[in-house]
Amino acid sequence: MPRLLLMLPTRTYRTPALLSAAARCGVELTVASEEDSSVAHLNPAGFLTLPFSSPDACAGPARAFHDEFPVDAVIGIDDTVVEAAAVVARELGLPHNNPEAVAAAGDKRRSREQLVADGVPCPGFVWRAFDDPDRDLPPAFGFPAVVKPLTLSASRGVIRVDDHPGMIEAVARVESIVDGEPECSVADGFLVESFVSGPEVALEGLLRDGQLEVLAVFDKPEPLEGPYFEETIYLTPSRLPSECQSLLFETSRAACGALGLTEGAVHVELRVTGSGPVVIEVNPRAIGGLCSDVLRFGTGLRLEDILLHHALGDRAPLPQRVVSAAGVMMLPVENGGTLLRVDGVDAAQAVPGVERIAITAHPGQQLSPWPEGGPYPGFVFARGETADEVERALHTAHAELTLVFEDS
Amino acid sequence: MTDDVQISGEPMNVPTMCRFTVDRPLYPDQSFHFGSSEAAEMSPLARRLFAIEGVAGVLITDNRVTVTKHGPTSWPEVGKQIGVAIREHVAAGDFAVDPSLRDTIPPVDVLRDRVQGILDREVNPSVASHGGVVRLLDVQENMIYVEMGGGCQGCGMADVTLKQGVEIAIRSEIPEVGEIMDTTDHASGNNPYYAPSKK
Repeated sequence: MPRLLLMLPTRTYRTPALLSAAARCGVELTVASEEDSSVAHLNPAGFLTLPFSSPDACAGPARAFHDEFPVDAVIGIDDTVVEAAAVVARELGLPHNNPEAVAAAGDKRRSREQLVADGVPCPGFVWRAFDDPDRDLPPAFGFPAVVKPLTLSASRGVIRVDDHPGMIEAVARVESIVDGEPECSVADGFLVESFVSGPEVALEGLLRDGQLEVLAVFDKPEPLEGPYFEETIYLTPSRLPSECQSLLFETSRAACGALGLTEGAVHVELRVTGSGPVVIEVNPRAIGGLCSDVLRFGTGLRLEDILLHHALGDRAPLPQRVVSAAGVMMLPVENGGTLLRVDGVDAAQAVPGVERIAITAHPGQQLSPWPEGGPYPGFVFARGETADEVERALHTAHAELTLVFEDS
Repeated sequence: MTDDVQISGEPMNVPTMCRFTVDRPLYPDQSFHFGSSEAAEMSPLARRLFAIEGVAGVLITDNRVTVTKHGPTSWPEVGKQIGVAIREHVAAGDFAVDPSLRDTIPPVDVLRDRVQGILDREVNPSVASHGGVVRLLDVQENMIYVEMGGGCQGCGMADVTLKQGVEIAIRSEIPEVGEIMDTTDHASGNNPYYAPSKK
């Protein structure tokens, strides 16, 4: 039976979905995390500790493990792991992205530079150091602009600015956010980008031997105009015309090529403008949070099944996405605070079309509004005949839910 | 006349599993799961099914056979071979599962004591280092019901702890154990050791 090395950060939402997919695939499973498991002694072949934050340092321990328990496939989940997964897969001679390409994709400055070099449309940008005395100067491309850190995900630390005073305030706030994030460094500086107006979409794809195949295109129907960019609703299938979706595919394919990504899941975020799609970012991973749960393929396959089969070498034609419309709402944090409870879950669950409500924040957890952001309190999933119907169900369910904070 | 045996296949929610319903009992009112061909040594029916390429698990329950498969072969193709195997089994007149296998399941109170012993000895001293605990709630036949508390309740790695650690420990010592069910209300955990923290 093949052995799958599943590289899971301890704080991901996605563990149950991946373990279930591994069980369905009938593989022997090894879970690698950045912290020791308390039960590793019960199943030495089932656990591995790897320093995800130092990707190159993962190669040695993974090789030693592989020599004792041969690994047939590697999957890395979430931004904090994908580069380490690429390093490990390369070390073990398994299909992988070039770790350099993964690192470039995870760095908004490097990815912008590579996209521009290959002529892939992306926002105008300039990189600045936080200790640069001119860090607050208006950008040459003018306002509105966006200030963002180089590495944070989920639009954390991303702020729209419309004038010079706003720029001064935003840069200071982004510096504070970056300073408080262990995965970031103020030494990395920040980006100032031109603000690209237009609907935002996400393309979920799978790269196989360098060829991009589309798994789903999501509309984000809530306007993401700033000043902060907390995401809420993802809907699929997209309501955009097929010609536009073809352009999204071509642009995403070009972006993956520019970055040198060749294998595995890819999540591309784009804005649709009058002059065509503009790439906001390319992530060498699957859609985040619990959002993958909206996708079904063929006779009921889930996204995790597709990814595991791909990692195990399955190159059969991909099954079609199930035709019905589906959507997910990431529950807004609102004003944030210490969460006491979420009221109205049963009523929200009873809304026609709602498939399930997942409250993922725990009582007592501190939730911060954007731009600091994270984590989401939970997720609402809905299905229906049309995307419009699904969107209505998500809004109706959300209206039933009340986040009760300690201070409220 | 095995040609008269009627079998219908029904895909399950889990895409790697398909349930085949036969028009006659194969293992009347009883159930047994085989997770490998080695484990199927005492089941003539399961042995036939494991001989089919890609079959990874067989659950025989009364007149139903649930097959787990992996590999690229499609269900229609594998399903035909499964139909042939079941018909051959019926024609041979063998029992589906050697009756003596059922006798190997320990009595419930013995199972309970053995599982509790594993939790006390192997599991809980370790998960206590994360403020967690795994409690045995119930044993029904060979089904085990557990609940995770403290740092395990709502922990992002609770599933890993259960499936990769606790289950492995229990099954390696007591292979007759059936399903191990986590009954924990993880949403109510207010002090998970690893709380989801990012998108």
